[in-house]
Amino acid sequence: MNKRTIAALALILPGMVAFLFFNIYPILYSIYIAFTNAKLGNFPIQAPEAEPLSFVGLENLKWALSDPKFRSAFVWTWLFVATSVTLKVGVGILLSVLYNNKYVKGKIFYRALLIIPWALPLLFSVMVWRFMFDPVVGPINILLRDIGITNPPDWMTSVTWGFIALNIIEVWLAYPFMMTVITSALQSVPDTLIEAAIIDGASYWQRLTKVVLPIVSKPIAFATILTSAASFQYFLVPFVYNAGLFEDRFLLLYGYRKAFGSSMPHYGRAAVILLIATIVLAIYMFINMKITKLQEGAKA
Amino acid sequence: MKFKLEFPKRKDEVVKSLLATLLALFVLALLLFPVYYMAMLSVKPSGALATTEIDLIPDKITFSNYKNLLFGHIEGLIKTTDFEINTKSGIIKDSLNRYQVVLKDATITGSYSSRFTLIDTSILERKGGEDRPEKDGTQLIVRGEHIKLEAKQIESTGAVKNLKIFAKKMTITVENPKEAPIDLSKFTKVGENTYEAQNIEITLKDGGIITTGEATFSARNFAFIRLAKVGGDVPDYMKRSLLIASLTVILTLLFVIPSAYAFSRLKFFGREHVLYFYLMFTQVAGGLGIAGLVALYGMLVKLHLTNNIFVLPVIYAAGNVPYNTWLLKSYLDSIPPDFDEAALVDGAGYLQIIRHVLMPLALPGIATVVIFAFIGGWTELILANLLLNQENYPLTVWLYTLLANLRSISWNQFAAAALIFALPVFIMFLLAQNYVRSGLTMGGLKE
Repeated sequence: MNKRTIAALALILPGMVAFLFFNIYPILYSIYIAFTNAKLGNFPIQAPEAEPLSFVGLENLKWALSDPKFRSAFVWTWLFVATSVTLKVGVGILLSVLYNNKYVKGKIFYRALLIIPWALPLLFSVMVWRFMFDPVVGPINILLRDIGITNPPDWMTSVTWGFIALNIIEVWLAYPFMMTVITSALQSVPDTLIEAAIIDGASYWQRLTKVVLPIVSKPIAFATILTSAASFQYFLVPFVYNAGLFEDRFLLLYGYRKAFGSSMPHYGRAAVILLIATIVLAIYMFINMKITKLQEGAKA
Repeated sequence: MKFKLEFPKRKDEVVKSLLATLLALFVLALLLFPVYYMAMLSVKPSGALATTEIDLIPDKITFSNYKNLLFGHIEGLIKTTDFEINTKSGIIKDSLNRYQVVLKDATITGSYSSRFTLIDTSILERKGGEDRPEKDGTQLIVRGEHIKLEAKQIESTGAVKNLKIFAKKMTITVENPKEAPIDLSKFTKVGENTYEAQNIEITLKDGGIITTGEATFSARNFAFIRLAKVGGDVPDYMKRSLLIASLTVILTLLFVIPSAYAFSRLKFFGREHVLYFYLMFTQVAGGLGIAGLVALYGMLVKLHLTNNIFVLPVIYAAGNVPYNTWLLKSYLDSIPPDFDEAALVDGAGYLQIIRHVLMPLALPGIATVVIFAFIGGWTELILANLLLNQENYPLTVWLYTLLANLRSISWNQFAAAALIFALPVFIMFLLAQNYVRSGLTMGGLKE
């Protein structure tokens, strides 16, 4: 090894060791736990009277595949990705078009204000929305009662309405990101191109679909992939909003609850749930990256 | 230079412009409404939460929720027979719901063994009594001759009988005027079952539950009074959050600055691979963090490191390494290498170059890392919630437990607490907006 490599190693090592020890090692250790019977009594510390910690092979995996709650969480997680990503991209495009419209006065000012949700801690935002959706004192239900709905939905304890609420929250959390990406893409469309289309007699709709969208579709695809990964990893919002209610709706939450949210924690099963979630996400991201050649942009 | 106002050429252009701007304003208001409503809630008096209408502008702005959270207040419990309350406004409710007396500028005197809770109170005068200090700074005074206190709010525990009341204005609502145990002859009828009188003195034999607003309370020959501090524990949570966030910043800088320099300036074997690995990791970090949680928890339990506030910053800083190394490396790449190469030729060591050449040049990039790391440490909930016990709670975990048990606090105080938590992050974000924004778009990592 030459001197330069040794120096580089010495400079990289402190951060890398910490990262490997607290991030990579736990992941590898989790993979091991996923193949053991780790549960209350034998993990983390073996209690004398409990069943000893032992390797059980694919037992946990078999359990997960036949567990109705796991199946439900798996399906609902993808359902959430589908609904929330559609909404996020739709709302992002609508907002970008609205706040990029030449008829709107004071665009820069509005855009600066619209970023506010981004500047707020996630926990705070969830708390705000938890209040918004409160069945009794929350303004949303007050408004619904005002317009004559005597029995407004219970956003807190009904799974269906709660799921809708989570979609709304996710759209609100993600729109600044979507809007920023799409707006900068829209602004990169050359004015001359649009003027040319106008001269050729293209309508507003034609200009949008034939001229603008082909140019902005790549950044939108980029934003869509990243935001769909965020949707798949949705954890903190349902966790804070109502962890018990959404236990069998989100994979990460189900894994977490199996280990830390139950009176009979089963760490092996929790680890296998989280492992499956991670592998699925990795495959999903890999496929998307290959399709869109996203990593080329990131390498620059 | 000539100033030229550009008027829209056609009339329908003006209309279009007006409509589009109105729509833009409406959507803006709609999107920001939740945050505005929360902020407004926090400056309304506690408990004043309407369930029937949306109150967009508060009638009265108060910072008492913030004051209570940050400094707390003294709550008194007094047991006495002989007392006098002077208040601007008060209500006496019959325990059998036969009548309700509303008072303005009133003096209530009584001689009936009773207990009162005095909220946000302080002693004005005192004579006699034996001091018995208790733990947690609670003050107990037993068998005093005389005491006078002021309070923001007074409530009696249960009904108090044999009251003598004088008031500038008294409004009595009775359930049944014929059977009311009050002599209503001096009152004028103003509503169906409502009677009113000015400058009047009555005796209320059956009494009732007394509730007043701001008032002074004097007692003679009282049995005891206990004064205790309530609330005001937010500074403790803030201190711990601040400690965690600051240590996270320091450790992150120690981890990230040297490695960012190495990745930016030194060519070595494996450089591309590690960088690529770091970048990939940032994309799935959120999910992987949860995936590793089971094992991380097991590790820390075995190492006896749970419920240790100093372990969290190390873990947070370790998790910050990939993303922030990337961020700072990109920034360093934008600085021409002439300076540090010259220093290298002059025989300076790598650490010297980092310290004296690159750090001053890379200050904006480092500032961004500092802000990211601080916000990360200040806002982390999952791990802190999992590892820490109550005596070590930072702000996040405390807020989370509040949310789980909302009956222990009013929504107004809850909103104030949430804003105390969010405000530092918001300010930091504004300070570094441009850097953070470009960084976030690059990594696509909001959550």
